[in-house]
Amino acid sequence: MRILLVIALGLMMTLCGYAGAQPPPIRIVFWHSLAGKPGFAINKITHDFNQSQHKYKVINMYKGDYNTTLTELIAAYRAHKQPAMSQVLEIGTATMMAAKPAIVPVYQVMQQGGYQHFNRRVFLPAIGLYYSNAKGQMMAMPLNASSPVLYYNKTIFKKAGLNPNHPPATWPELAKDGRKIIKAGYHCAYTSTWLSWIQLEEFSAWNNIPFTTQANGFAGVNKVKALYDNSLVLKQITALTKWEKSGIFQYGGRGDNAQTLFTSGHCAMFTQSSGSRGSLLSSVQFAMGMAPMPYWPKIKNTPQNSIIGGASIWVMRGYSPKVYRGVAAFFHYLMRPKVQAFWQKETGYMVVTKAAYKASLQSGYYQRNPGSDVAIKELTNKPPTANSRGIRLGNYLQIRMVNDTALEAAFSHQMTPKQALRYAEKHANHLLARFAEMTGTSS
Amino acid sequence: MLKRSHFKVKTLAYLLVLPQMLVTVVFFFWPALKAFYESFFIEDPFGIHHHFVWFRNFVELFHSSDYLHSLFITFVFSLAVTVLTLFGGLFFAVLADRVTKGRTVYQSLLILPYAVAPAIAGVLVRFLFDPAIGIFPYWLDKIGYHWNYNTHASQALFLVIITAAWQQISYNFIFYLASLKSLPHSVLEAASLDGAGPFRRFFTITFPMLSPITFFLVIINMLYAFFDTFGIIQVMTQGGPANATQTMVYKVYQDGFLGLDFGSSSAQSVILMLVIVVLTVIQFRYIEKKVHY
Amino acid sequence: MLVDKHPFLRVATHVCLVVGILFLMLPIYFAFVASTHSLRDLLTAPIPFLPGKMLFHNYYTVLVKGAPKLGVNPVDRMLLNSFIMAMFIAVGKIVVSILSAFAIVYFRFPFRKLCFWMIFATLMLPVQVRIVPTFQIAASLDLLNTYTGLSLPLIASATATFLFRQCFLTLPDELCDAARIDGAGPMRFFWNVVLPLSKINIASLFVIMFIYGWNQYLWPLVATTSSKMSTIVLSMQKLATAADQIPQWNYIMAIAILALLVPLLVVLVMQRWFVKGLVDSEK
Repeated sequence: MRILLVIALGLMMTLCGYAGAQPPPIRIVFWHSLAGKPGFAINKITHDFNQSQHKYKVINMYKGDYNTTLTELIAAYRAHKQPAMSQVLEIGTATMMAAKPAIVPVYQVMQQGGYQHFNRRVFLPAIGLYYSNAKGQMMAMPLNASSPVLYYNKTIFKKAGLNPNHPPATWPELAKDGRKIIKAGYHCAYTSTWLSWIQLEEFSAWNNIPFTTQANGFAGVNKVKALYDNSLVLKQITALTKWEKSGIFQYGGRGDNAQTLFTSGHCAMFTQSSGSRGSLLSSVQFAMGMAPMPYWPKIKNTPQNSIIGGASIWVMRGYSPKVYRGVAAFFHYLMRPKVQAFWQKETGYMVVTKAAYKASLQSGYYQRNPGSDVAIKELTNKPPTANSRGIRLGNYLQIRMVNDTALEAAFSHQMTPKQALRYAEKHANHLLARFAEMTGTSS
Repeated sequence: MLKRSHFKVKTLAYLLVLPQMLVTVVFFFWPALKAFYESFFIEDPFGIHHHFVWFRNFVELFHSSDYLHSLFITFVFSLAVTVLTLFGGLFFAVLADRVTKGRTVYQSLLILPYAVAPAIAGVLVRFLFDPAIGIFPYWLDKIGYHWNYNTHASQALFLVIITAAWQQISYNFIFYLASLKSLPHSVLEAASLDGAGPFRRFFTITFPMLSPITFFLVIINMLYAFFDTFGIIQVMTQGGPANATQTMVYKVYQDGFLGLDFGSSSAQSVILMLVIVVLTVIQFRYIEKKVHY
Repeated sequence: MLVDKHPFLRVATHVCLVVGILFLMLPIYFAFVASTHSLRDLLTAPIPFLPGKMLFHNYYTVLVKGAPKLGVNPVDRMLLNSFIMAMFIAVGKIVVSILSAFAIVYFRFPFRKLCFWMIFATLMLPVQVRIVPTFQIAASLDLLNTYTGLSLPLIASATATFLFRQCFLTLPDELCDAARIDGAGPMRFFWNVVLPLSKINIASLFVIMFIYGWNQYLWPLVATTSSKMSTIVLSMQKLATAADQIPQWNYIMAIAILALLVPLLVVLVMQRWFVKGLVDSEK
């Protein structure tokens, strides 16, 4: 009899235990393309989020580089196997926005998750504007943001008789400094990575000229035409080809390839993403300085502000409201100033929210880490105009490839700068028209 | 062709061919049909909007200077690789055929490049020609020739051509050697007795007798240059600089996987299918017909 | 072999062969040399001509330890992946082809000719031509980043089927007659008679298909994204085109040597079968 009682009590307690036990957390898969230090950082952030509550569990999956991840996202969507969240590079924004049935806009996710105070103005203006639709509502969640900056070799500056704390602010100054550097016996003063991004796109925003019609693609997908075959861009490319002849400028190839020209000490200055700050600091053998991108003086309102590069997180359709509440909670966690500060410190990407920027300023982070605020200062230099909100184009990757091809032809003297820009514009317009057709928005 | 002595058990036969048929249908025909189908549409990457455009994708390709350029590059590339590998393979085969001592050693060494994957061959040659540290640019610099295949289109094309040729020479060598061994020696001996020297014998007798195998190798080399050289281009130049090494296959990959334009990529695939059909038909019609002596 | 009347020509032949072979072996030789030096030695021009002292260090790093900060993952896993994929493809191709060749030659069944022509048609559909849709189909079947996904789409082979078909066609009819008189079923006939007689062809095809499988590049490139599933040939692409930094040539070359070592050894050791397989399969 007593044994039966004990067993009954035991059963009751077990049942109570089960009743009080929590249900397993809802799994939310997050695809991303972050390797190296940013990879460690995002995994830590996700881990901490999972530890901070028990309702949701975000699972990070590294899918390869940005292009690979986007290709897989598309294949997964077509097979109805898409993840709940995926990081997409910034130039995929138009493609994602045009795929309305495939995505859930972030503003909707946050609203339904109960975060009524969430809106575009939480973010730094240039960042918020970049990822919002025509009504100013956020479509994607900014994750990693960067801008091009000018890195320079302080040692070479000293040896050439230049003030190592006074980098050139304008292109004519850069040319002047460059001539001194060449005179001092060096073979290259300046090079640049990511030519289409830096010398065409960011150049246009920084110097406040339009890149394409339709407010750089923000006003719509239809009838967007390239405008960068203009006199200022021509002036820039012509200047670069002229400087090539005197050795001031050296073309280093596409993408990141030119970086080794700088790190090896061959070229004294180069423009590259602010996101490379961390890896550059650890690989250069000389004192390195950072400065904003040069601009052309005597143009109205220059320098304006820079546009962000990087990537954001998009939310994919096809999951239950519970999952989206978890996504909202994760985003809310991501926007915390402490998390943002950790992200900025570990990776070299900027903080994306106003609150986090304020906190970083107050904590003296930028004083302790010279050069870490160049990019964010570029971004917040002036309130964005229609030319500097961002660039949102379809077939953007192919347009960049076309632009890179054209610039390559100019720098290897197969085409004159004018011919190169005309070639680039013609092909870009074709790609833009095709995108309008592809997304069913052409008239 | 069916053997005179055969079985009539149908179900077993179906079971035996099933694996191959299954893989063939799922992974060969279904994708081919898909490519064919998608080549008639323009659609966004997600497949949400797509509309039927008849032959527009094809028309646009032939109006695109980029596509026509890739046709040209592919043609130049495959012609150069074919010629180089034919001559290289024949050269080595003739030499190897003549020697008695050390023949197996020579043969083994000459076969080695075939074992190297094209992508690996690309890395190996790239190392030798790297503008920063390569040994060849170093020597070329000494005689005043500036080598940088990242900025010079013709240098890049030259580099991928010799890499592809290097890799494929073994294949041609093997076939030429096998053919040389099977040539009737009586004819050659008669010519020798008549006083014809080795070079004369080669050009008037040997080489013409090798024409069937040469023709066969031309087709094979072209197929190799068209299709199997993707790895080389990806690793060495990624189609650049300025599309100087963008072959048709590479463009299919770029437009499909990077550009996410499935309509155009599919149309390009269909065109490639036509090319290969033509080459295969030629191969089987004209070569299978030739009778060995 | 004609007896050479000109000793000069004989010497010249040898000289030409040796010089030609030296040129051919140059890339492999320099790759090996580079894989035995430190990166610093390689960055100062000209690169050394003789092997260095870092052989064990470099290969050990590349195989076991890895250098994650430099983006070099240990490649032991990738060697395994390449091996599994190559075996899967070689064995798969042979099994599938020999069975269907047997069926097509020795059975009369409806649609026999259709099957034959369908197999033939696959000759005109190399993977490069159907790369995008095959990728989409593999993705929808959840085959990405799996061994099955890596190998299955490459398994159906027309050349192997045709080779076996040719081989079977030359088998005397009396063999089959005898088997049937003995009351043996088709599979018994296959197992006891056909298979042993095809041993040499199987061996030579195996060599060719293994190398083909090992050296695959485009399909693994699109079908795998996880570094756990990467093959060793594919790892070249990631390292050699690594953007951020100076290429780690000593490690890259060590991996390249490892990647070509296996097929190289296979070709050297099984040379006779390999050559036979190549020549026969094209007839």
